[in-house]
Amino acid sequence: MNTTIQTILVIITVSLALVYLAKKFVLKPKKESNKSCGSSGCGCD
Amino acid sequence: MQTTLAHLKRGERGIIIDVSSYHIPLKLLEMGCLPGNNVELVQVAPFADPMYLNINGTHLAIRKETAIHIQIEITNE
Amino acid sequence: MSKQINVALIGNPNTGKTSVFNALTGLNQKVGNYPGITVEKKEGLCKLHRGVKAHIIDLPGTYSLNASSLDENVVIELLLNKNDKDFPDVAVVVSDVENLKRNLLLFTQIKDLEIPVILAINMSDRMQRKGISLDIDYLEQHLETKIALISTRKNKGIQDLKQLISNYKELSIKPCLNASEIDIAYFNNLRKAFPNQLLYKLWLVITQDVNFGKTDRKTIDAVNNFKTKKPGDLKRLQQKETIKRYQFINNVLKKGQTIDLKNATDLRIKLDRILTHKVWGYAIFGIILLTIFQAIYDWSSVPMDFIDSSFASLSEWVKSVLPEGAFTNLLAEGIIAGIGGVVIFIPQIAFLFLFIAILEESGYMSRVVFLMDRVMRRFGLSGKSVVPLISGTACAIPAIMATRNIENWKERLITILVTPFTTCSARLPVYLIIIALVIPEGRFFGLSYQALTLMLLYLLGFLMAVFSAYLLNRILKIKSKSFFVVEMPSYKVPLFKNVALTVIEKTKTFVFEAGRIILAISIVLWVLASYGPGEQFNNAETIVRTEHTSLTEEALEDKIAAHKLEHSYIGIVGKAIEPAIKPLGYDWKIGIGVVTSFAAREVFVGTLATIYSVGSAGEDEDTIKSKMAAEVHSNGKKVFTLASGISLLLFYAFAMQCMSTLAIVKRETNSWKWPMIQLASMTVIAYVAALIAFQFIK
Repeated sequence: MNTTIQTILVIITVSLALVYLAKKFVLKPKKESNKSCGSSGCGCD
Repeated sequence: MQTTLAHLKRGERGIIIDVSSYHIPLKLLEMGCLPGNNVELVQVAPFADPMYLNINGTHLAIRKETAIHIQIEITNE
Repeated sequence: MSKQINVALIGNPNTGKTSVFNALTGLNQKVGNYPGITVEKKEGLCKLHRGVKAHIIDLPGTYSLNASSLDENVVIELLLNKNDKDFPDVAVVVSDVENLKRNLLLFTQIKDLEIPVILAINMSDRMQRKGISLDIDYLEQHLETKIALISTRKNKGIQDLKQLISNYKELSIKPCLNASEIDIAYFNNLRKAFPNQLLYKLWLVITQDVNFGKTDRKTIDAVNNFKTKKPGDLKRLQQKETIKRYQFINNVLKKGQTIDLKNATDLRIKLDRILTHKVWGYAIFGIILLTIFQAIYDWSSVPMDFIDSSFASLSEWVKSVLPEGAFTNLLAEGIIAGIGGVVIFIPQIAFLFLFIAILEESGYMSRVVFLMDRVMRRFGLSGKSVVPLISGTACAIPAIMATRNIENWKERLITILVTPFTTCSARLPVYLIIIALVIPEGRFFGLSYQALTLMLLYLLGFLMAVFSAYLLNRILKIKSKSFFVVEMPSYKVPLFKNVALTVIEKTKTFVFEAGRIILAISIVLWVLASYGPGEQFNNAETIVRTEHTSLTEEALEDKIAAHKLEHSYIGIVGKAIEPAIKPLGYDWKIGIGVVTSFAAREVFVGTLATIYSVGSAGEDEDTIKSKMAAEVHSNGKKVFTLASGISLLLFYAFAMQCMSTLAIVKRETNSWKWPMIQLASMTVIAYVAALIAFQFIK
């Protein structure tokens, strides 16, 4: 019983971690202006 | 004697005559770099760049390549 | 019944606007980001009188509504958009006594937007010293506003300001001058074409890339009974507008303000004479830097040891208290260890930011920027790159965020790309243990070889940053207008409150930005290290026990742990990359350490502890060291020699292993292109440097 709970908790935690990392790294940033800085119009120049 | 701000020497004072709106960003004007205002060189870094100036009471530093587009009249030593 | 008033704090940089914000909101503030752009959004709550609350936004400092950068743009976007939930009911323009003339420019512009404005004149405690006196009634009358004379330093005037905010409905929204006089015909046409819009609003839209509501520049251009002007003409008109505003301001100040220079003392000039001196300026800066680094080094060791042992105990306690099992292990070894790995750097980082905040608050940092600009420019950087580069020795993440004030995009990009080369705190544990292991005893002019090596590594990081900046400057073909201006504020004694709040905020950034990623990766790595495929892993215990019959229980446990690690998923990865890292002098065990370092560099030491079967003995440095020193390759030769040690040091000096930094670079440059280039090139540099070192020295 204990091992099952433990295993489930581990799986949940790891999945959360992976989802978080995926969000940070894999998904495209949802920005209003998708212009990469360097082109004009981003306000930096 | 008329010259550019880039040629101002340590301790010299001048009055701004003309600011080329093409070369000089509006921001500098808004900070007080306008025709008729006083300007004084406080200090220069090695190679005379950047220039630490007192423009109309505002103390700021700009690069020589910017200062060269500002026409001034030297008033005293 | 609690009503909320929206207040916007606006003003020039260096007016103490932040101090006013802090005085009004105290700890009830939060820092976030404006959606979609990398500009900080600072807001807070303030209790006024009779249950009324004020929601205060501290807008980025700006000299005028004509935005020249991303953060100045935020100001104008907010003020032109009545539908924004943060649109202010009242604006408070914060200015300082010494620069009233310049500060009033922004003030008159906001008045033209018909938003109720309060003028807060800060630093009133300096009035006497500077010989300044103000006729408040005269100013209030001619500027059509109400004035609060404030001194955040002496805690005066804040209650008055709160009162004025509460009574914001009594403020006049009449503009104080008629700016359209600069070109009467043009503005009349504009008014006829758009009778329902504020004239000044339209003007702002025309002169900049700002939209509000449905009216934007294209719509204005499209109205064919109105002719817009060419950009050159617009610029000249803006110049005229600025001149006109200053004329008005000068007139008002002629009577409203008197300056008696005889009574003024000028500390600034005296200090600047030395601090920006050709020779002394640099010498003093150098001494200050060295002092800071020495202090940080000395002061952080005690708290760091404390944190280290606390987390170790916590981990042990969790293991003993919770029922045995996978999750308990994950908690103790993955999560707690992961969090500990982040927390342990807080002292170092907090101290560094403390010093930087003090230097900035005092006004000295502008002088440093002034001194360093010319030198930095030769390498494609800006004088303003100094703060990020120095901050990078604590942690690259807040350092990269600090590049936001660099106006020139190319200089900013290069600074972002090279800052990770500076030796950050996380590299230290790795450096220290390898140095202790392979650098011989002995002294050179009083300094031990070990200390010298450490200093050299720091120097190397810095030189590499500068050198790559030089290369990037040559290679990158990016056009950007170079406009550099740095204001030299008066010298001030730093306000403790501001410094403290800055340090807290920057440290929080590190903990949350870096911390979350490190924690997530730690969890994943724990799984990869705790589980493995196949026989070797699953039957680890039996295999080890049959092999080593004569060991103590404790030693057996360590051996089992080591065996498991070897055959876990990570172990497989380590073995797989062995051929690639052999030329660098590493074996698969070190390979595992290098891979786990991608979570956080300091994890390297802990990983090695496990691999070399130190396991339950904890992270006792001496134990790890002696185990590592004893390690031999299959051919009998030692693993950790001078050659492989230096190779490892160089690898860590140059490799981009910090995932958190990559995430920040992606965010600040708005694309994956740059972080990927950074990752690829730094890895290559690290590999090549380590390779050459090993092959050369062995």
